[in-house]
Amino acid sequence: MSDCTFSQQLGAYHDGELDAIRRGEVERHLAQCADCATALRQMQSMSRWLADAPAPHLSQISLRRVHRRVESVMDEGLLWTARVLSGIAAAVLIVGSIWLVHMGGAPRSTTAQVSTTPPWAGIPASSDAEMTTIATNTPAAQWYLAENSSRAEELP
Amino acid sequence: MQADTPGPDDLELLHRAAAGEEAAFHRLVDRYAQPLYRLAYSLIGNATDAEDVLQETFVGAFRGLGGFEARASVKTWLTRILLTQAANWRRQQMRRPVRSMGESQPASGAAEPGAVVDPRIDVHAALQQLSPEHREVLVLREFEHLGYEQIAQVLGVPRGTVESRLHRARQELREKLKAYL
Repeated sequence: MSDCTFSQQLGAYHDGELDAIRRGEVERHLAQCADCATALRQMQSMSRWLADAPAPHLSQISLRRVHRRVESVMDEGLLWTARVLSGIAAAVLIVGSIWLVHMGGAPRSTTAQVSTTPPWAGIPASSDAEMTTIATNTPAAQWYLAENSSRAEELP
Repeated sequence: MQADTPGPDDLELLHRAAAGEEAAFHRLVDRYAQPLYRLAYSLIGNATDAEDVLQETFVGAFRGLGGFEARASVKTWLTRILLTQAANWRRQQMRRPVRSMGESQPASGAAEPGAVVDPRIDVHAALQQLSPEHREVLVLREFEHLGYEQIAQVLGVPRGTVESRLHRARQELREKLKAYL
Protein backbone atom coordinates (compact mmCIF):
# COMPACT_ATOMS: atom_id res chain seq x y z
CA MET A 1 0.00 0.00 0.00
CA SER A 2 1.84 3.11 1.15
CA ASP A 3 5.53 3.05 2.09
CA CYS A 4 4.89 5.64 4.78
CA THR A 5 5.64 4.72 8.39
CA PHE A 6 1.94 5.18 9.21
CA SER A 7 0.87 2.56 6.66
CA GLN A 8 1.16 -0.20 9.29
CA GLN A 9 -1.44 1.56 11.39
CA LEU A 10 -3.92 2.15 8.59
CA GLY A 11 -5.42 -1.31 8.90
CA ALA A 12 -5.96 -0.95 12.64
CA TYR A 13 -7.43 2.50 12.05
CA HIS A 14 -9.77 1.11 9.40
CA ASP A 15 -10.81 -1.73 11.72
CA GLY A 16 -11.44 0.62 14.65
CA GLU A 17 -8.72 -1.02 16.72
CA LEU A 18 -6.76 2.10 17.67
CA ASP A 19 -7.15 4.04 20.89
CA ALA A 20 -8.22 7.67 20.75
CA ILE A 21 -4.68 9.08 20.85
CA ARG A 22 -3.35 6.94 18.02
CA ARG A 23 -6.53 7.49 16.03
CA GLY A 24 -6.01 11.24 16.28
CA GLU A 25 -2.40 10.88 15.12
CA VAL A 26 -3.42 8.83 12.08
CA GLU A 27 -6.18 11.27 11.17
CA ARG A 28 -3.78 14.22 11.32
CA HIS A 29 -1.35 12.24 9.15
CA LEU A 30 -4.04 11.32 6.62
CA ALA A 31 -4.80 14.99 6.07
CA GLN A 32 -1.22 15.49 4.89
CA CYS A 33 -0.25 12.17 3.20
CA ALA A 34 -1.89 11.45 -0.15
CA ASP A 35 -0.40 7.92 -0.37
CA CYS A 36 -1.89 6.88 2.95
CA ALA A 37 -5.23 8.49 2.09
CA THR A 38 -5.31 6.47 -1.17
CA ALA A 39 -4.31 3.29 0.65
CA LEU A 40 -7.12 3.80 3.14
CA ARG A 41 -9.68 4.36 0.36
CA GLN A 42 -8.55 1.16 -1.35
CA MET A 43 -8.83 -0.72 1.92
CA GLN A 44 -12.36 0.59 2.41
CA SER A 45 -13.29 -0.48 -1.14
CA MET A 46 -11.99 -4.01 -0.60
CA SER A 47 -13.88 -4.30 2.68
CA ARG A 48 -17.06 -3.13 0.95
CA TRP A 49 -16.65 -5.71 -1.81
CA LEU A 50 -16.03 -8.45 0.69
CA ALA A 51 -19.09 -7.40 2.69
CA ASP A 52 -21.24 -7.24 -0.44
CA ALA A 53 -20.03 -10.53 -1.91
CA PRO A 54 -22.83 -13.09 -2.08
CA ALA A 55 -22.76 -15.16 1.08
CA PRO A 56 -22.77 -18.92 0.52
CA HIS A 57 -25.79 -20.63 2.05
CA LEU A 58 -25.97 -24.09 3.56
CA SER A 59 -29.02 -25.85 2.18
CA GLN A 60 -31.42 -27.83 4.40
CA ILE A 61 -30.27 -31.04 2.71
CA SER A 62 -26.68 -30.23 3.55
CA LEU A 63 -27.65 -29.38 7.11
CA ARG A 64 -29.38 -32.76 7.43
CA ARG A 65 -26.19 -34.42 6.17
CA VAL A 66 -24.23 -32.63 8.88
CA HIS A 67 -26.69 -33.87 11.53
CA ARG A 68 -26.47 -37.42 10.15
CA ARG A 69 -22.68 -37.35 10.24
CA VAL A 70 -22.78 -36.21 13.87
CA GLU A 71 -25.32 -38.94 14.69
CA SER A 72 -23.07 -41.58 13.14
CA VAL A 73 -20.28 -40.46 15.47
CA MET A 74 -22.67 -40.52 18.44
CA ASP A 75 -23.62 -44.11 17.48
CA GLU A 76 -19.95 -45.01 17.19
CA GLY A 77 -19.59 -43.87 20.79
CA LEU A 78 -22.46 -46.11 21.90
CA LEU A 79 -21.04 -49.04 19.95
CA TRP A 80 -17.67 -48.48 21.54
CA THR A 81 -19.23 -48.43 25.01
CA ALA A 82 -21.17 -51.60 24.21
CA ARG A 83 -17.99 -53.29 22.99
CA VAL A 84 -16.07 -52.28 26.10
CA LEU A 85 -18.86 -53.50 28.38
CA SER A 86 -19.10 -56.78 26.45
CA GLY A 87 -15.35 -57.19 26.77
CA ILE A 88 -15.46 -56.57 30.50
CA ALA A 89 -18.38 -59.01 30.89
CA ALA A 90 -16.52 -61.67 28.90
CA ALA A 91 -13.38 -61.15 30.96
CA VAL A 92 -15.34 -61.43 34.22
CA LEU A 93 -16.97 -64.63 32.94
CA ILE A 94 -13.66 -66.20 31.99
CA VAL A 95 -11.92 -65.21 35.23
CA GLY A 96 -14.96 -66.38 37.21
CA SER A 97 -15.01 -69.73 35.45
CA ILE A 98 -11.33 -70.30 36.06
CA TRP A 99 -11.75 -69.35 39.72
CA LEU A 100 -14.69 -71.71 40.11
CA VAL A 101 -12.74 -74.59 38.59
CA HIS A 102 -9.84 -73.95 40.94
CA MET A 103 -11.96 -73.39 44.01
CA GLY A 104 -14.22 -76.36 43.17
CA GLY A 105 -11.21 -78.79 43.29
CA ALA A 106 -9.92 -77.81 46.75
CA PRO A 107 -12.86 -78.90 48.99
CA ARG A 108 -13.02 -82.27 47.20
CA SER A 109 -9.65 -83.28 48.65
CA THR A 110 -10.85 -82.34 52.15
CA THR A 111 -14.01 -84.44 51.72
CA ALA A 112 -11.96 -87.37 50.52
CA GLN A 113 -9.84 -87.14 53.65
CA VAL A 114 -12.91 -87.14 55.84
CA SER A 115 -14.57 -89.99 53.99
CA THR A 116 -11.55 -92.24 54.43
CA THR A 117 -12.19 -92.21 58.15
CA PRO A 118 -15.33 -94.22 58.91
CA PRO A 119 -17.82 -92.63 61.28
CA TRP A 120 -17.41 -95.41 63.79
CA ALA A 121 -13.65 -95.05 63.81
CA GLY A 122 -13.76 -93.23 67.14
CA ILE A 123 -15.70 -95.99 68.84
CA PRO A 124 -13.33 -98.40 70.55
CA ALA A 125 -13.43 -101.98 69.34
CA SER A 126 -15.14 -104.05 71.99
CA SER A 127 -16.87 -107.35 72.58
CA ASP A 128 -20.41 -108.03 71.40
CA ALA A 129 -21.56 -107.98 74.98
CA GLU A 130 -20.30 -104.51 75.47
CA MET A 131 -21.80 -103.41 72.18
CA THR A 132 -25.13 -104.92 73.22
CA THR A 133 -24.96 -103.14 76.53
CA ILE A 134 -24.30 -99.87 74.85
CA ALA A 135 -26.94 -100.47 72.25
CA THR A 136 -29.67 -101.64 74.61
CA ASN A 137 -29.26 -98.66 76.90
CA THR A 138 -31.23 -96.36 74.67
CA PRO A 139 -35.05 -96.19 75.01
CA ALA A 140 -35.52 -97.00 71.34
CA ALA A 141 -33.46 -100.13 71.71
CA GLN A 142 -35.44 -101.14 74.78
CA TRP A 143 -38.67 -100.80 72.84
CA TYR A 144 -37.27 -102.74 69.89
CA LEU A 145 -36.13 -105.59 72.03
CA ALA A 146 -39.46 -105.78 73.84
CA GLU A 147 -41.38 -105.85 70.57
CA ASN A 148 -39.16 -108.52 69.10
CA SER A 149 -39.33 -110.75 72.12
CA SER A 150 -43.18 -110.58 72.19
CA ARG A 151 -43.30 -111.42 68.50
CA ALA A 152 -40.96 -114.34 69.06
CA GLU A 153 -43.36 -115.66 71.70
CA GLU A 154 -46.32 -115.42 69.35
CA LEU A 155 -44.58 -117.50 66.73
CA PRO A 156 -45.53 -121.16 66.57
CA MET B 1 -22.17 -15.20 14.58
CA GLN B 2 -24.47 -15.85 17.53
CA ALA B 3 -27.88 -16.66 16.13
CA ASP B 4 -30.98 -15.09 17.65
CA THR B 5 -32.23 -18.43 18.88
CA PRO B 6 -34.23 -18.31 22.09
CA GLY B 7 -33.64 -20.91 24.75
CA PRO B 8 -30.53 -22.11 26.53
CA ASP B 9 -27.28 -20.30 25.82
CA ASP B 10 -24.33 -21.92 24.09
CA LEU B 11 -22.52 -22.85 27.25
CA GLU B 12 -25.54 -24.54 28.77
CA LEU B 13 -26.12 -26.51 25.57
CA LEU B 14 -22.49 -27.53 25.53
CA HIS B 15 -22.60 -28.74 29.13
CA ARG B 16 -25.79 -30.66 28.47
CA ALA B 17 -24.26 -32.23 25.38
CA ALA B 18 -21.16 -33.17 27.38
CA ALA B 19 -23.47 -34.82 29.93
CA GLY B 20 -24.82 -37.04 27.15
CA GLU B 21 -27.83 -35.11 25.92
CA GLU B 22 -27.48 -35.56 22.17
CA ALA B 23 -30.35 -33.19 21.33
CA ALA B 24 -28.41 -30.34 22.96
CA PHE B 25 -25.52 -30.91 20.57
CA HIS B 26 -27.90 -30.98 17.61
CA ARG B 27 -29.21 -27.58 18.72
CA LEU B 28 -25.66 -26.25 18.67
CA VAL B 29 -25.27 -27.64 15.16
CA ASP B 30 -28.45 -25.83 14.09
CA ARG B 31 -27.23 -22.64 15.69
CA TYR B 32 -23.76 -22.57 14.16
CA ALA B 33 -23.93 -24.58 10.94
CA GLN B 34 -24.78 -21.59 8.75
CA PRO B 35 -22.12 -19.10 9.92
CA LEU B 36 -19.47 -21.82 10.12
CA TYR B 37 -20.33 -22.98 6.63
CA ARG B 38 -19.86 -19.42 5.36
CA LEU B 39 -16.46 -19.35 7.02
CA ALA B 40 -15.54 -22.77 5.64
CA TYR B 41 -16.59 -21.75 2.15
CA SER B 42 -14.51 -18.58 2.34
CA LEU B 43 -11.47 -20.58 3.39
CA ILE B 44 -11.93 -23.55 1.07
CA GLY B 45 -13.50 -22.00 -2.00
CA ASN B 46 -15.97 -24.70 -3.00
CA ALA B 47 -19.27 -25.94 -1.58
CA THR B 48 -18.58 -29.68 -1.43
CA ASP B 49 -15.32 -29.46 0.44
CA ALA B 50 -16.66 -26.68 2.65
CA GLU B 51 -19.48 -29.00 3.71
CA ASP B 52 -17.01 -31.80 4.45
CA VAL B 53 -14.93 -29.44 6.56
CA LEU B 54 -18.08 -28.30 8.35
CA GLN B 55 -19.06 -31.90 9.11
CA GLU B 56 -15.62 -32.69 10.47
CA THR B 57 -15.74 -29.52 12.55
CA PHE B 58 -18.85 -30.71 14.38
CA VAL B 59 -17.47 -34.23 14.65
CA GLY B 60 -14.31 -32.79 16.19
CA ALA B 61 -16.36 -30.62 18.51
CA PHE B 62 -18.47 -33.58 19.64
CA ARG B 63 -15.39 -35.68 20.32
CA GLY B 64 -13.78 -32.80 22.16
CA LEU B 65 -16.78 -31.92 24.34
CA GLY B 66 -15.00 -33.10 27.45
CA GLY B 67 -12.00 -30.91 26.71
CA PHE B 68 -13.86 -27.61 26.50
CA GLU B 69 -12.68 -25.44 29.38
CA ALA B 70 -14.82 -22.35 28.75
CA ARG B 71 -11.74 -20.11 28.50
CA ALA B 72 -13.10 -18.91 25.17
CA SER B 73 -16.67 -18.66 23.93
CA VAL B 74 -18.30 -21.61 22.19
CA LYS B 75 -18.18 -19.62 18.97
CA THR B 76 -14.41 -19.07 19.29
CA TRP B 77 -13.92 -22.73 20.18
CA LEU B 78 -15.89 -23.90 17.13
CA THR B 79 -14.09 -21.42 14.87
CA ARG B 80 -10.75 -22.73 16.07
CA ILE B 81 -11.81 -26.31 15.35
CA LEU B 82 -12.96 -25.28 11.89
CA LEU B 83 -9.62 -23.62 11.13
CA THR B 84 -7.84 -26.81 12.21
CA GLN B 85 -10.10 -28.90 9.99
CA ALA B 86 -9.54 -26.51 7.07
CA ALA B 87 -5.77 -26.81 7.59
CA ASN B 88 -6.12 -30.62 7.62
CA TRP B 89 -8.09 -30.41 4.40
CA ARG B 90 -5.37 -28.28 2.80
CA ARG B 91 -2.72 -30.80 3.84
CA GLN B 92 -4.75 -33.62 2.29
CA GLN B 93 -5.12 -31.61 -0.91
CA MET B 94 -1.37 -31.10 -1.12
CA ARG B 95 -0.80 -34.85 -0.83
CA ARG B 96 -3.26 -35.60 -3.63
CA PRO B 97 -2.24 -35.46 -7.28
CA VAL B 98 -2.88 -32.15 -9.06
CA ARG B 99 -6.47 -31.90 -10.35
CA SER B 100 -7.18 -31.71 -14.02
CA MET B 101 -8.28 -28.44 -15.55
CA GLY B 102 -11.77 -27.22 -14.68
CA GLU B 103 -12.28 -29.63 -11.82
CA SER B 104 -13.72 -27.62 -8.94
CA GLN B 105 -10.93 -25.06 -9.10
CA PRO B 106 -11.73 -21.56 -7.94
CA ALA B 107 -12.01 -18.96 -10.64
CA SER B 108 -8.60 -17.63 -11.50
CA GLY B 109 -9.44 -14.42 -13.28
CA ALA B 110 -9.39 -12.22 -10.21
CA ALA B 111 -6.50 -10.08 -11.31
CA GLU B 112 -7.26 -10.13 -15.02
CA PRO B 113 -8.15 -6.59 -16.02
CA GLY B 114 -11.57 -6.51 -17.59
CA ALA B 115 -12.19 -10.23 -17.07
CA VAL B 116 -14.99 -9.58 -14.56
CA VAL B 117 -16.77 -6.25 -14.37
CA ASP B 118 -18.10 -6.52 -10.80
CA PRO B 119 -15.35 -7.05 -8.20
CA ARG B 120 -17.91 -8.38 -5.69
CA ILE B 121 -18.31 -11.50 -7.81
CA ASP B 122 -14.59 -12.04 -8.01
CA VAL B 123 -13.67 -11.36 -4.44
CA HIS B 124 -14.02 -15.01 -3.33
CA ALA B 125 -11.81 -16.08 -6.21
CA ALA B 126 -9.24 -13.46 -5.20
CA LEU B 127 -9.38 -14.72 -1.62
CA GLN B 128 -8.61 -18.24 -2.78
CA GLN B 129 -5.43 -16.97 -4.38
CA LEU B 130 -4.08 -15.65 -1.10
CA SER B 131 -1.83 -17.74 1.09
CA PRO B 132 -3.86 -19.76 3.65
CA GLU B 133 -2.43 -17.67 6.48
CA HIS B 134 -3.52 -14.40 4.89
CA ARG B 135 -6.89 -15.76 3.80
CA GLU B 136 -7.64 -16.96 7.33
CA VAL B 137 -6.96 -13.65 9.00
CA LEU B 138 -8.84 -11.64 6.36
CA VAL B 139 -11.88 -13.90 6.50
CA LEU B 140 -12.00 -13.70 10.28
CA ARG B 141 -11.84 -9.93 10.13
CA GLU B 142 -13.93 -9.10 7.09
CA PHE B 143 -16.58 -11.82 7.16
CA GLU B 144 -16.75 -12.77 10.81
CA HIS B 145 -16.04 -9.24 12.05
CA LEU B 146 -13.87 -10.53 14.86
CA GLY B 147 -11.76 -8.02 16.80
CA TYR B 148 -7.97 -8.33 16.85
CA GLU B 149 -8.01 -9.91 20.30
CA GLN B 150 -10.54 -12.51 19.22
CA ILE B 151 -8.58 -13.30 16.07
CA ALA B 152 -5.46 -13.70 18.19
CA GLN B 153 -7.36 -16.10 20.44
CA VAL B 154 -8.73 -18.12 17.55
CA LEU B 155 -5.39 -18.36 15.75
CA GLY B 156 -3.38 -18.77 18.92
CA VAL B 157 -0.97 -15.95 18.02
CA PRO B 158 -0.15 -12.60 19.67
CA ARG B 159 -2.20 -9.53 18.79
CA GLY B 160 0.81 -7.91 17.09
CA THR B 161 1.05 -10.89 14.73
CA VAL B 162 -2.62 -10.46 13.81
CA GLU B 163 -1.99 -6.80 13.01
CA SER B 164 1.03 -7.44 10.79
CA ARG B 165 -0.55 -10.48 9.15
CA LEU B 166 -3.67 -8.47 8.30
CA HIS B 167 -1.53 -5.71 6.86
CA ARG B 168 0.30 -8.13 4.56
CA ALA B 169 -2.95 -9.94 3.67
CA ARG B 170 -4.53 -6.67 2.55
CA GLN B 171 -1.46 -5.84 0.50
CA GLU B 172 -1.69 -9.23 -1.19
CA LEU B 173 -5.44 -8.86 -1.84
CA ARG B 174 -4.91 -5.37 -3.20
CA GLU B 175 -2.44 -6.83 -5.72
CA LYS B 176 -5.03 -9.40 -6.82
CA LEU B 177 -7.77 -6.80 -7.18
CA LYS B 178 -5.68 -3.91 -8.47
CA ALA B 179 -7.55 -3.94 -11.75
CA TYR B 180 -10.64 -2.72 -9.91
CA LEU B 181 -9.00 -0.24 -7.58
